[in-house]
Amino acid sequence: MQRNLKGLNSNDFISRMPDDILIMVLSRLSVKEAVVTSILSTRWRFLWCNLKTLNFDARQALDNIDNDFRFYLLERYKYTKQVNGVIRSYNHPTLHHFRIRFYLTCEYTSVIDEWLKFAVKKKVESLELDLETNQKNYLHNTFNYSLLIQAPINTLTTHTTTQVVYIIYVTIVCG
Amino acid sequence: MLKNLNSKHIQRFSYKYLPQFPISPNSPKLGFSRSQIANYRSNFPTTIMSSSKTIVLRSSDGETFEVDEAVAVESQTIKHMIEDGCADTSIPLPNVTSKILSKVIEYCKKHVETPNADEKVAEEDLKSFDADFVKVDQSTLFDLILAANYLNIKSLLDLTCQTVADMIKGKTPEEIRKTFNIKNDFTPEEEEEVRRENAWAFE
Repeated sequence: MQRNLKGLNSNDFISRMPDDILIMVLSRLSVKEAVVTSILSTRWRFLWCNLKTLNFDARQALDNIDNDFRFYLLERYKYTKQVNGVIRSYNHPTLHHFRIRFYLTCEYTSVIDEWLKFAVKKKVESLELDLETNQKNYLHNTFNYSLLIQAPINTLTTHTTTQVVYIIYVTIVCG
Repeated sequence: MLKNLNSKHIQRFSYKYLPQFPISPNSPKLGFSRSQIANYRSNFPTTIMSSSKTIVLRSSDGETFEVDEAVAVESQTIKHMIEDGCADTSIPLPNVTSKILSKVIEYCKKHVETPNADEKVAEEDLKSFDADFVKVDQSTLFDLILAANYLNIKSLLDLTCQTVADMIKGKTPEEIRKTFNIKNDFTPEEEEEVRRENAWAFE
């Protein structure tokens, strides 16, 4: 891969790496940390969009909420802002693995709709939607979520070998 | 060629020049298929095929390193070259300098010598070896990444990439640029645009 090395500092070793190695490194960061690299230089701007997995597992935020419920609203705001932001900026035509894990209630159906539309548009091979609402008493116990996807419906059925759907703790009412 | 053969050559060349299978006019001149070689080796008396075989690796700057085959095949690239019968005299590695190759060999030796760490002590020992192994300057670290990639040594590639990821984690963009001496070649307008596009990431 020919690249113009003229603009590089002489001791900038990381920029001499080929793209696929930098993507290997980015895949070991959280999504937020990977997006932060987009501002490092023009070369890094869209590198993170080559990630095959978008794993929005907000472990730290969920721990904060478990420790003190007052964090819930703030963490939820940050989380949805993060996912919505990534969905807007991710410009690769396909994505292999899309994972959501957060406490979300039925007010968020339209938001989750958008996330699922994104997943379908990018032809994800594996979609995980973990909303954990049944675990907590202070959230609604039933979550009637209507799946309105304007896409071929067979892309989300479980008997298609290329698509795997894990939906945990969500009751889906179809039709 | 035959007059230069000594016993050392016979160990290495015997499967090539003394085949058990008849050579038809249509079969290739050199090189048997992997299954033929594997089949041949399993039939050949073990006294001739030495189990502690060594491989010679040649770095880009001409230095040679003799290593046990078990260590050399930690690299999938080298493993396939051996299986394909390309490991006659030495394996040239034009992409790897002697400095980096000696480090890679040190890593492979340690990982081959340590038995599959069910024992806590062996596992701790290997972990601390790995931690010390990557305490090198950036130039060496990135050369190790390139070598691990070229030689296809998964555990070394994972270790080195994780090290770089740990150097990026938790830092602001300016700190990352400083760590790696990355030049910011955005125009002010471009940079503003990137910040706006992903504002949530920079708060």
